[in-house]
Amino acid sequence: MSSHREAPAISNLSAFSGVPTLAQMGGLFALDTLKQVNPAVQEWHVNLNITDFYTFQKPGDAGKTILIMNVNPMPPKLAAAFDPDAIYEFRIDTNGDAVADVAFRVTFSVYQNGQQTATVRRATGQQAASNDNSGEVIIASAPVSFGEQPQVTHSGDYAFFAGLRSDPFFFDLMGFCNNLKFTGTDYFLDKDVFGIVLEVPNSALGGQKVGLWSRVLWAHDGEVMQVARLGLPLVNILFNNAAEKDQFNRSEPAQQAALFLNKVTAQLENMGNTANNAREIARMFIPDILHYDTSSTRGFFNGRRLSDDVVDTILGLVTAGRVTTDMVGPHTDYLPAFPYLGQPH
Amino acid sequence: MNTLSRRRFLTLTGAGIVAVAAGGIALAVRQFSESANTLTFQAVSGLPAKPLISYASYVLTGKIDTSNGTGTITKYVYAGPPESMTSISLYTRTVRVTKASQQGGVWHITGVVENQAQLQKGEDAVLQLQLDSVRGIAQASFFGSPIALRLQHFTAP
Repeated sequence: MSSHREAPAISNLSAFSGVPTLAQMGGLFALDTLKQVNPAVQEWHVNLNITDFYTFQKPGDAGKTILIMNVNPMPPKLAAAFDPDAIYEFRIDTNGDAVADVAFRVTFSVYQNGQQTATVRRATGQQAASNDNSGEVIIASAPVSFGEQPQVTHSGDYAFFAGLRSDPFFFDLMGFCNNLKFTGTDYFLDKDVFGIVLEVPNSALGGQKVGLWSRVLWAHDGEVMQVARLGLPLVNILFNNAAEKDQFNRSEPAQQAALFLNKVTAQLENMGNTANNAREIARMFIPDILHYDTSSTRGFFNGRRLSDDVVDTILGLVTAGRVTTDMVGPHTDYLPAFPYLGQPH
Repeated sequence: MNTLSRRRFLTLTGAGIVAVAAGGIALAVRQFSESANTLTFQAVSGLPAKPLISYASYVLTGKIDTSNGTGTITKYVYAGPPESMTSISLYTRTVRVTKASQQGGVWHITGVVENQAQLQKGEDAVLQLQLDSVRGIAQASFFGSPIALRLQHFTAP
């Protein structure tokens, strides 16, 4: 792939549209990234954009869990840092009602002189369900890594990393665009992201069998709004058109069955599934929550490890077995230890 | 969703990206300096095609001197479906036109990808393009698959 990859380029056509043009754009959107903040705001920040969400048992320590949220698929040229007006959240449902009972909230300082720091809070109960930045501070003044070497912050049973890393996602994007005619070309092999990685004791998740998702809240003109969310991979991309993507990003899991289940079922039927199978599969994706048993290392759909071939798994499901692989496998640059995301390119 | 510039990235880099909706691109093409023998066009299609949800937009733009069958066509894949296309290019190829002829009101254009080191597995080195301005359709291929694009702009001698 790498020898045949084109240099990403911004269209010179935008120069004619009378709006600002990005002259040199490196990096690319990852797959699940066509999210906008809010049509009313008409503004969109790439560093609010969740590309992927991972949850897995810490290798070598069954008592801990690793949570990873990747954002900002084109660093550093479109966004050089995390958004200081955002709250990046890992949300955990412990009782199956699709409402967060525990939340880990990550906020960032203003980016100055090439530096930024993070604060991590843990909220429970009503605080967790809220849209504010409440919660007990568990990590403070953690430095963000903008270079090759990850700066890891330890605090009690927690470990934290935030910063530039190699994008772990693997997928033949052009094959997807070509109506699922894959050639095995990994579009994301040399791409980077901003990773937020949190190691937590399992007890801090609030239960052994939990449901998780990531989201980003953003403060704009005095209003705090949910601008992105992601539990399972590919759901928003595969099933929702542009307007629906926005609605999906703004939705809470508890709302999603009413809003999206019938629509996803219909889309699955369009993709070749029987009505019964389509309904069953749709219930796997809606609400968009990643289920995880802390005692298991099985991987997707029990959490999601970096190397899990979620694309192949989901392709087989949604196409009723007609397409079972994009012929692309995991990257080889994952680290064996925290923060697990590979060195940036 | 149809707002022209609803995606704007004015972040810490000071750089900006804006959505380039269909109308914006069509406007852009009209800016080409045109001579009596110049054919210009722009054609767009969503990728992947229905029944799948379009994730991206396949855009062909071209300017061809029909007197000698030369010119340039650029193939893009932009993030976002046609109705909410961004200016974020996921794929770009420049094609050197080698032949252009008209038959029955349809322009038949042949070209070759200039930098063939860019080509990926399954990707065509040669572009065969048909422009039917009456039907408002362009026929081309994407990674070997035939694809019909909607002509958003077309001027010809």
